[in-house]
Amino acid sequence: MGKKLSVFFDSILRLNRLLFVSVVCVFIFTSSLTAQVAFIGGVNYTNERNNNLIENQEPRTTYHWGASIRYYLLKNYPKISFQNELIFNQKGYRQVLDQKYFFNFDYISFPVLINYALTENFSVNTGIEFSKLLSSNIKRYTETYNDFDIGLVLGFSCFEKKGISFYSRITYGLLPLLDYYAIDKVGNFTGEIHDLKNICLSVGIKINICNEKIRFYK
Amino acid sequence: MLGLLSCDGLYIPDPIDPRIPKYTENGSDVAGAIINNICWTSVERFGFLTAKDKPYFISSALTDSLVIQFNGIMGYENTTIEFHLKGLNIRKFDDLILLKNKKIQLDGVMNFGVVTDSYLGFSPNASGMEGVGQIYFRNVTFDNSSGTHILSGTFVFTETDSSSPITEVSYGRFDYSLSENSNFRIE
Repeated sequence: MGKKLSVFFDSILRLNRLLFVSVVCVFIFTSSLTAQVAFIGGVNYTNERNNNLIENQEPRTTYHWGASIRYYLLKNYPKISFQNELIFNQKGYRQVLDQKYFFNFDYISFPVLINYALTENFSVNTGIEFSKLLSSNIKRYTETYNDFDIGLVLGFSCFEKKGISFYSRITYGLLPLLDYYAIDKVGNFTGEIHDLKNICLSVGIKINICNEKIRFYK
Repeated sequence: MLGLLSCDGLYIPDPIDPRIPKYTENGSDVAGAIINNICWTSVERFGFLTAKDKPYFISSALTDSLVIQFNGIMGYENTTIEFHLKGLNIRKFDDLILLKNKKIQLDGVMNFGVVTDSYLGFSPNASGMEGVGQIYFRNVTFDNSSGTHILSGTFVFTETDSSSPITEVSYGRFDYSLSENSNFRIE
């Protein structure tokens, strides 16, 4: 009886896998129109730039997910489009001292990007990302870290006309995350530290859910 | 009774070196330092009628001396960082306000810092020279409503006794809330 059940469940799992692969294939090979609204998600390779402040600092691999919308504002420039996203974006770093210390900074990010399609399947983008710090694993993080960041974005995306496309981008934070005392080796206070700036390489997939081109012109 | 009403110390890791607490001036009841590259931390904790890692300020009017004891843990061992200071004219609890913004140079003889085992206490070393460095009381405030002093500051010192290895205490910081009955004694 148990063996029969196991075989039954195995066949269901195989069916599910087949269904999933079929859906992915349908998305990739049949979607011919430019998709404008999409779910996005992927991994971040993230760190904090600083002026030799953090000893034994290492980058971390985190994640991001959210939604994006693309629209076309310029009638005479069909290769140029604009893109807004709303992303839950985890950034941070780790520090290896007597043990590994993890610093997580969970942002809600709002990138405003301009895309230029170099070919049908490849486009580059640049823009600005506004980020608001939502949470952290550090106690009372708001007393130590700034909760707002602006970053420059540079990236590319491939196969955007397919159901599933790929993208990569680098986000270069401009505002210092840390506000703290500068304390010298003797224990004197020598000023204030305004340091730690985000840097984040993101790689992800975009699952297009709406294939209508959004135009703001006739 | 005080133990029942008090809150545990609030340990927020330092953003530059998370082994020690962040420097604060809120009366967080924590202290920390790096002793020979090992972290020493003091986080005051209250149980039923008990208190752990409580700091003590012991004043002697006769000798015009003040002994400060920061009790904490280094590795798994109870370890106390002690300061012996003279000439500060601290004769009663209210006088602690005189420490505000005071940098005291630890010359190793009149004023000094020592790292001691919490149980054995301080015993002078043979050379008569103890820890040399500085303790800085950056901020001292008195809260009228609770009758407590908040003392915050930094400390650094080095013990170079010829008979034992050098003890280097670096990145020291403290932020304690002190009450007259609980943390202050006159001998």
